[in-house]
Amino acid sequence: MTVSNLATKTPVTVITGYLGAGKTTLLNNLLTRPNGKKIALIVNEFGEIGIDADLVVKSDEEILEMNNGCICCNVRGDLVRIIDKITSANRTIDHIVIETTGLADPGPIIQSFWVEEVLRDRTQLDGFVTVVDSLYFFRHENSCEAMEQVAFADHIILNKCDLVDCSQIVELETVIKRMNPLAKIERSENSVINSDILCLGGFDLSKALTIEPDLLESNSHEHQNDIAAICLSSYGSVNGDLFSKWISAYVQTNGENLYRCKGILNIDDQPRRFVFQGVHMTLEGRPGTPWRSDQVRTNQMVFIGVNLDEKILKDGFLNCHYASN
Amino acid sequence: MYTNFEEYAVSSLTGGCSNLPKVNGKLNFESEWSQKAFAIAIELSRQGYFEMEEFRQMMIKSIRKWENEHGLDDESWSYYSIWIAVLESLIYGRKILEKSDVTQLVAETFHCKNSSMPT
Repeated sequence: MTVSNLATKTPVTVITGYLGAGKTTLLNNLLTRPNGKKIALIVNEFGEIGIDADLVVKSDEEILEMNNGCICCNVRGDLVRIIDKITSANRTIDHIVIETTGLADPGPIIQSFWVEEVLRDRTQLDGFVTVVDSLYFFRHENSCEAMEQVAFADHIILNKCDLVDCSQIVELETVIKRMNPLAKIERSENSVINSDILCLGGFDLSKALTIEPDLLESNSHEHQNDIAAICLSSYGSVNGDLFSKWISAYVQTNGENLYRCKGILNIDDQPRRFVFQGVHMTLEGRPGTPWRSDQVRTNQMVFIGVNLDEKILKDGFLNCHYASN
Repeated sequence: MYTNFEEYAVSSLTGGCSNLPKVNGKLNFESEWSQKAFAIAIELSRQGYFEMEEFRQMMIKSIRKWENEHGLDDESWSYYSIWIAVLESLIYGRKILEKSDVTQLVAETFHCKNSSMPT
């Protein structure tokens, strides 16, 4: 018997955003704001000489650089090694913040926290924060990375709001909301924010209670870049075996185009909710918090991706329901 | 993905020192009472009285305490004795007995434990 790997998981926040959006400024603001937490900062950048780490204000926090490439492509091993070191038994780190390169693809980064043993056992991905350059967002519309960073996010910071007029910000918010209705959107100037982005719980299935009702009523959210959010809701009990087979097959077939999905379901009329989330072909699901006895049990799911067929999703999901009496 | 609570519970107690005792990949129970204690804990958690993660953390803490107080070759080690102590602590600490009709089930298990545990 051994008492290793027992500590509570260290929360991780990933900060991403296109080139020049204001990620490093956000980090500096974050690190200079006292929050009582001992933070380890991992800065990912291209090239052998780290530049971004030099731009980060000097503080008590530990700054580690990964500069052999992009975190989403070929430094996953580095990430595992660094987090292994940070979370070793004799260290006291309260939170890990990762700043990605501006060209990072969020999917593989999120997946690493589910599939890499060290990351899965010792850390809990808390949130994926994307800094958007309000001034140049529409110029980046042809960049897959810039759009995916928005589509994957739990929290989106519309930075440089002081450089655009109000109507443009409203338009930007509308476009972004259509691409990713799950994320909270916050306006900022110079990456100054009010929210506690180190406590988002964006990937914490144990706390998932509901998906915004407004979101589910609006069904499908089309966007000119083909990024769409499809929202499904239903009543009644869902057959766990059928659902498990259907969703697994769906993500295997459509995973490449599916960025994120989330759902809260009444499986087999069990006392607890069933909650799941997915990124591309990776899925995780578990029993969540119990339903209240006076509560109407609603099944709610959101799928965000490109070229998703709403009818296929809807029909497939409805086929998983028990026949109503 | 665990749509079945029992599978989820077993999975969440796999790994680390709170690891469920297994033989040839199957759960291994020391006795009848340990089997019942296991079933009661899983059912109470399934019903929402406590989270499996809470239970796991309490197991880890209790096992760590036992290891600090005993030699690693101490033959009095019993995984399910710690399990039932944690379960008792939750049942009485959360006043679960007053909230539900599990009294009889728990009483039977404890009686079973007393009759078969080594003195």
